[in-house]
Amino acid sequence: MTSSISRPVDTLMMFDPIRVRALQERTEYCAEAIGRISLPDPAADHAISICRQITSTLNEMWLPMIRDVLAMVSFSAYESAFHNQPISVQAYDSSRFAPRWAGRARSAAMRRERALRAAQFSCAAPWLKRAPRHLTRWTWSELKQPLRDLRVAIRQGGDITKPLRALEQILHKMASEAISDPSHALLSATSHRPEHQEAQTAVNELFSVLALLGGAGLHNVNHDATDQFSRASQAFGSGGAYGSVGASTASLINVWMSHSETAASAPAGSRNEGILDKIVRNGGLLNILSANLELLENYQLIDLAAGVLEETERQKSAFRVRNDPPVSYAIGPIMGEILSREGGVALMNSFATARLALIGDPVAPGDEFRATLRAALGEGTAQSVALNAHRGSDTAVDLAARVEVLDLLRLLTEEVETLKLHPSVSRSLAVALGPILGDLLPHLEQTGTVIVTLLPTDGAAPHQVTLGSYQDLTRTFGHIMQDRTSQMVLGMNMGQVITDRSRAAAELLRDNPQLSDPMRFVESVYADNRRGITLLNNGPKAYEANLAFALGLSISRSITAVNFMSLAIPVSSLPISRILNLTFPMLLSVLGLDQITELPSYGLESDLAIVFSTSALRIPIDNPDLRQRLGLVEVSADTWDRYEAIVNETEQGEVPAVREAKMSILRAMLRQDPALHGYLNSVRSGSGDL
Amino acid sequence: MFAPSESAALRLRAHNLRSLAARILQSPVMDLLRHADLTTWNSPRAEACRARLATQIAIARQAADELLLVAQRMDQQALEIELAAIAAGTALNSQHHNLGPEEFI
Repeated sequence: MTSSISRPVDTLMMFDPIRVRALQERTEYCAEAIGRISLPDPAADHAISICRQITSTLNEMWLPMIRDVLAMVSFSAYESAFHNQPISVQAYDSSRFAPRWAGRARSAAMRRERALRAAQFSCAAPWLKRAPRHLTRWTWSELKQPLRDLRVAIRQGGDITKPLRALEQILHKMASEAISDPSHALLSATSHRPEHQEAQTAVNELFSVLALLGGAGLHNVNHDATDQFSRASQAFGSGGAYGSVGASTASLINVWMSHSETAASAPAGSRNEGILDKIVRNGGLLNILSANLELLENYQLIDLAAGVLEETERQKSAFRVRNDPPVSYAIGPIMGEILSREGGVALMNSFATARLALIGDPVAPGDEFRATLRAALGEGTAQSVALNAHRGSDTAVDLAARVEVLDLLRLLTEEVETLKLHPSVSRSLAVALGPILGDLLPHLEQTGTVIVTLLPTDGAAPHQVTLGSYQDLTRTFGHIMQDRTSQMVLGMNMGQVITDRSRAAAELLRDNPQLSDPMRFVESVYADNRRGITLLNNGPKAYEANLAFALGLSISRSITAVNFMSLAIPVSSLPISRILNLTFPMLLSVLGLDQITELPSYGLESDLAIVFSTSALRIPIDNPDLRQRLGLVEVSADTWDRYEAIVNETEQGEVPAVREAKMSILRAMLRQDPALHGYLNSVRSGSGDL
Repeated sequence: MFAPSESAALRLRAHNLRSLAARILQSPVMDLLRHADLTTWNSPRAEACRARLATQIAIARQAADELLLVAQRMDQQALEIELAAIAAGTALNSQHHNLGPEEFI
């Protein structure tokens, strides 16, 4: 069925380019999803017809308009930001548009919306119109004229090179003053005093100006302005000073991206390389990204940042990254954020990116302990990471590397109360612990001193490392777990260890059917796993109830019951319900849910929920005998087929929105199926006591 | 106990219609307007987009409800057919019981 779709011409348009870009992805997905719905039954004709109409509306009305809007972001967002106005476009179509400033707000709702817009596009307007209150000594009189010239040049489409150059000179002077003035070092740390807060607001505006200059620099390649930005960023550190810059930076990068997509003057490849090169060279922008990680909600920015990292390695510029504090400081958090997102996790398998994550977070120079640790982590741990990256193969982890990592852990355990653990240290340690977690787990008794015995692979004498008391170790891991990235890395490592050990145990059971007490053996494996998770859970102030750890764990596919099943262990040799009772509560202890129907729809919890549900369903899908043992004989074969289809689809790598949608379908199906619902709840509520 | 093929077909259709209703109601498009509010874009054309989709979503919800009702009616019909078949079978059996043993030989 077709429908006539009218496309009215807008007289006034206000929009948020970032949200509209996200809306585009969502609309395309919705159109595809609703377009796939069909049923050859006359009783369904009306419903199918409505679905077709919705598809038509999305494809012929929504998406063309979204594309029209995004086509002009590169100019209108940029220009509007300079005037502290929401984006305003009059009477446009895909071939022409005329920017116009939004008129007077006629209602409270409009005023509120504009205030929201102004906040979203926090920009340099105060700097362009009046002297900032607390920065007048920074040569405002010099700054005023070139800013005015720049504004006029941009509005009238004139040459902006000259005012930019004048501004750069002044900004260079301002940045130098900022760096040399020791009082500014306090800005980021003493935000409780009103005068500092006001000064910080003014500094935010300074950053906004610089960010916008960086945007202008795309057209007139201008590394000096962005270099000033980097220096000023370095002077004020990360954190609050960047807060209000985030939105305008996202706009800025969108401007760059849009420009690279639409510019016809250069081949696509060289344009992309140009942007990558520009951002790699721009420590300030990376700093903003790292301090405003929520910007990475934008998939384009994830691609961009991941591309920057890959590009950096490809160009063999690791040396420069290592020796450029703004760049190296920024890459660590970005790397962690990318890793913590679906799709970015695959990067963890890349030795190059793992190494970048390690060298990406330098610790403060001058501190002897940290300097030593940095050297150890940068060199020794890189070796562990290399081994870690290849642990899927038969490569044995060198004893010296394991001892080195445990020594670092011991050192940290002794000093953790006197040191404020830097994220770089905790992340590096979390990565480095991967190869030795298996050694550590059996020794984590909750009383007395933890002594780890390492067994060399070459038959040499065992080596013992005394780590300290269990309570001290708990505290150390608690500090590590306060950092989200470290938490996720630990989760991945723990998941990998659990998977490896379970697989080894399953293989041993398979090859030794005469084993007299297989369940006792399985339980000993789970006891070790449980010790590890208990240690990590006992730490103080764990980040967001350890959700990042849970995500890492789930990513590692540490659903050990599935591993047992995947190895075709005869069901009769292992009481599967016992395995389930042992396994899933261990996983779900970090989720804290009461009902399977309350599984969350969004965020990290949703990821874990999807892994849990699909894995639990996966177990009996192919095994009629097991279904009978689990009391699922009443569920029809047709229902199992449908579950299998949706489980297969959900397990495939997809964008979160798709997984959420499939989870919703799965949840709806479970509600209609009391037997399956009961099965999942019984799995979830197993005691797990060992 | 046997189920006539007509009732099985009705139950299958009812099942499919329920699945269809669930797919429509769980479709991500039902949530799309939340991501296209005034904080995302605002203009007469954007408002027209929102209004058209809101209308169609409301109709789609009604259509899904109707599907569930039709499915319910089909199940009821299937049940009636099965009950009728059971009643017919009982009558046949009782008719057989009324026959004398010699008539089976």
